[in-house]
Amino acid sequence: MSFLALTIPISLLLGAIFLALVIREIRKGAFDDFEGPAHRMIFDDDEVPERPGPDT
Amino acid sequence: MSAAPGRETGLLLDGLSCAGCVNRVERALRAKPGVLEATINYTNHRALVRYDPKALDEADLVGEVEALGYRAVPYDPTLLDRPAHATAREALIRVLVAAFLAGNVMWIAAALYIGGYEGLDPEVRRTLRWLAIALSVPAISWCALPFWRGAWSGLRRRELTVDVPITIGIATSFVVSVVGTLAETEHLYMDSAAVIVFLILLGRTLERGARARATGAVDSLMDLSPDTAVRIATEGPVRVAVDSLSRGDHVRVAAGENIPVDGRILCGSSELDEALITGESTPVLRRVGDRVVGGSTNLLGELDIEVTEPSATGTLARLTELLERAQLARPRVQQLADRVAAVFAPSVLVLAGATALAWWWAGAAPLEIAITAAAVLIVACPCALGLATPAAVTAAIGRAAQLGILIKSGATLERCASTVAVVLDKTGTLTRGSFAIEEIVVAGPAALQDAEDAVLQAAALAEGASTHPLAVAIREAAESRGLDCEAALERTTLPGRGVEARVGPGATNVLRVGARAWVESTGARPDAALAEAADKLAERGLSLAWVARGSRVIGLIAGSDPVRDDARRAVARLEHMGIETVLVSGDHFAAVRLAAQRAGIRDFAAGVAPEDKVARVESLRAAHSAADAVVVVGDGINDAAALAAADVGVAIAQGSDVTVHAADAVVGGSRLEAVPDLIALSRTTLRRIRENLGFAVGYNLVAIPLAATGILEPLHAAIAMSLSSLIVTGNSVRLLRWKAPA
Repeated sequence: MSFLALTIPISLLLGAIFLALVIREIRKGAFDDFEGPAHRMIFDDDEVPERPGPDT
Repeated sequence: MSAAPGRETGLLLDGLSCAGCVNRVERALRAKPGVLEATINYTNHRALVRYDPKALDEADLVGEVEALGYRAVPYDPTLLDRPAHATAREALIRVLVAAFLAGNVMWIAAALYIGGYEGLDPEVRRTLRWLAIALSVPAISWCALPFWRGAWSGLRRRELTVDVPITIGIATSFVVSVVGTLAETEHLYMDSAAVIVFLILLGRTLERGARARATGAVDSLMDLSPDTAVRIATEGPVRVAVDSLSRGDHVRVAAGENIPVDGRILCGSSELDEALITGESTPVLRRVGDRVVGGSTNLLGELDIEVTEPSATGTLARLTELLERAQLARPRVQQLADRVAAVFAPSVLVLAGATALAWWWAGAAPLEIAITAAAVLIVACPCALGLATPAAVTAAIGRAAQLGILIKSGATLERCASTVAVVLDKTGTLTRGSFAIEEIVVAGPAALQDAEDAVLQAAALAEGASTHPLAVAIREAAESRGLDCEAALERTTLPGRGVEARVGPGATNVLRVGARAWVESTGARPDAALAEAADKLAERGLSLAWVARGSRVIGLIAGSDPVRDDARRAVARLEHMGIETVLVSGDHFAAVRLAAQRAGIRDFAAGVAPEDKVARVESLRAAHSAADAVVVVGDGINDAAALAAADVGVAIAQGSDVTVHAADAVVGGSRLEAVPDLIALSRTTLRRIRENLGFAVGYNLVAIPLAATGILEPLHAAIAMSLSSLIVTGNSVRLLRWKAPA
């Protein structure tokens, strides 16, 4: 009985900590788009060709 | 459309949980003085309201919706995503918290269940039960808040929403476990309340995702329009917001970018992907002077474009608006389902009460009565019923748009599905609407090597810049053969007869191209062989141009308006589907017969004036039962009356004119095969709707008795209820992958 009184609160606490972490990430918007990132990683957004300005 | 009075605004609604809510908000908006028209799409939770701006404004509409306990955001496509994202995040957090709580309650329940057989210390059992109850409290309160809110705002307005039976069911399950724990009952389900909350939340979240996919086809149209564009100002190129562009501005579009607005090419040429209009992504070559459509993709080279229409009134904006309207218009089957859904929640409460009464009568224990009544409350699901039609219609309209077919209303789908006859117009519909040279006959014995070219060149020289369709075809043919067609010295056009041109001094340097009677009247006589050839060509239905040099007929050129490449396939597919195809045209007999033969149409009528076309359509409708539909396909320009007289008018749009008013559906890209596509897609859509409705009704007929007899426990009821909504939505989303049968 005494071991239950120790292990159950500990396991619930651990679970609650991870739940809180996930909630924090959701609030930051990490899960807003489930499909987009899979497509986005294919495109190299950082290599958008810049149009040379009129002076260059 | 612009003729309708009042101002129009969109409202993004939040918190609608079932068809009953849609019904209620809609009625409340319509009842408000000053509101002329209000319709809500359940699938994407958007309302379109037309109102008198003198009587009220947007804020009043929002207030009206909020008074009902829902949230409304006046609709501006650029703002659309934000509230939706916030709601989705909150919903996801609720699901996860509920999952955590339900998971823990479940292991406790499992331990208690096994302990029941193995023998469990009463002290431990009591502790575990209270722990399960403690974990259930946040689940049925915070996690289930959307249900409580929905039920409360309904009750405050003395209306029963679907949330009422759900919350009563959840509360009953919870009370049962508390009472059972206090009374130290032997076997007790501890996990019901928390797990039910989790399952219903999960079901709604998944449904939200599926619904977002169904509306995605429309939203993707909005995505096509870039936010910014490079405007060429006097001081050089500057990046500006697309909204700020006005008619006459010059814009530069790099390769790979989307064209921001409708315009005309000033400089450069490129291949464009105009799939949004035509449904086909085969690139089209566009050169200086050509029109381009906002939203199409510039594939190859840099283009400078003059803006001809600002983005707010451009093709893309009109397309998007039409699509949204289409999704808002409800087919008849849906109106029936809406009425059923509205009386559903009260009926469920009555049923649950009756169940409890019956079990009490039979002498059951109070706890058992409560559990059974809770199962009935939870299992009954009007959502499947409410979703059955709008989900399918939205997905079908989205799919049609991808195929280049713009459907103006969901009711069009319903009528198209019962098509028995298709009436086709000839010029511009079955045919391309422009002439092509079919044959050149050279007069005289043993034709010289280049005699054909000589006839063509002479004709092209004489025709000059004439706009007669056959003249245009002659000039194009001559150019494509590389013939030199320098302008004639002087040219006279004689309407209805032909063209006379002088290319040099002397009578032999006068060229005449035109009708046989006129050419002969100038003294030029054809030889017998040529006359015979001419008769044969005319009989085949070709149009002829006689070519004479001085007093000698040197040959004749035969042209026709060729049927579209896919005409034969389209007609064959219609026939295969058991649909009668009729060709009705104002053209003369031989030409109509030629087109009918080439397209494989047996039934045709020639020389039919526009008024007579309407009469023909009406007599065809009278010949079939009222439930059967007659579809008229035209180019939307000269046959608007016939399109309007039909059950379904389909316009084959030329170029970017996708918003023909008289038509119920508009096909882009001059693709005739879109007609069988449309009918086949409609049939599939109606089948899906019937499957959905049948399933929803059948589900309730089976599940409610099972719950009432105590076979289905509250937990299983929650699973079944969530699954039923998901099955209906999933079945509808399948339409997005619809392909024309091979």
